[in-house]
Amino acid sequence: MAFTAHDAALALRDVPDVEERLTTNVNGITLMIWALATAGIFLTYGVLDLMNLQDAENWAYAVAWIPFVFGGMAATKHLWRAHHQALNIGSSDHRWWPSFAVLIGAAGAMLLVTEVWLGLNWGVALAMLFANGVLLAGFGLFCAGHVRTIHFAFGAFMEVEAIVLGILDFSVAGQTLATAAAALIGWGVPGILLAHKG
Amino acid sequence: MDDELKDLHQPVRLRLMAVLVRQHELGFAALRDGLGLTDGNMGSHMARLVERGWVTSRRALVDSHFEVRYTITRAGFAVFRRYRAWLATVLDDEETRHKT
Repeated sequence: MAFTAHDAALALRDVPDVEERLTTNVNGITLMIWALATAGIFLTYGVLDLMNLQDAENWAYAVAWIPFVFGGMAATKHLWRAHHQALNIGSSDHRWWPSFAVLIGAAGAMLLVTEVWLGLNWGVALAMLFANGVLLAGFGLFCAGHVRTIHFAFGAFMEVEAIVLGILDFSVAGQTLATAAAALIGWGVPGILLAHKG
Repeated sequence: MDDELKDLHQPVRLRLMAVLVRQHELGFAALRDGLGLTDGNMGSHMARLVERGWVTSRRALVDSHFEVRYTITRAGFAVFRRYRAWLATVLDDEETRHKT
């Protein structure tokens, strides 16, 4: 079939989507990286809880998050740098630091509300899961259209999951698996959706 | 339409040129993935654009690996501008014919 002037006009109209498509794809891969990192953190802390460490060994709690967070940050930075180089555009690395501030702030607020004000013993893991939901939904504010909806939906999923797990009062092992699975689904599924869409 | 514009008036080549007009320089993988092309399809059409002198290619070290990068040339910009002018004229003429 002949390629008409109208077809040409349509082809040219679609072109600006290329950059957006690649960026959405990289966005999805970023979420998948953090799905693995956050699930790894929840599993590691759950295992530490189950090990009943002696006081002298409590330093493990202070450092267990480091390999996951720094690994995730290194992978994310590398991914976005490659993306910016591929598109020949300037890099912007500054958004990660506000993200961690939001994460820690939301976790602290959740702990304050549940443990101090409501008198519930929900613990750090559920507060962190709730905060992860806040962070994912917060990223959605910087997106548009269906990408924003996906961020909001899975952010809400993690928040609801944290509240439900708090009400159900699982054993340490059960809560560990449930929080890790929730983090894996909450970050990973939107990641797969966006990477596939891209 | 002259030979140059006929060569550009092809869906894949037109989209490749339009992306390069916008970005100036891009890697093989970004162009291929961005436009949803296969390696072979992309390679053959890009070879035509390079042959025409509208695009130059070079191997560049990007994040510890080499990749082929394409840059649009002045001739590339010029032919794309001419193509857009031709397209606008054709679409205007069609619209005028529709109205009368």
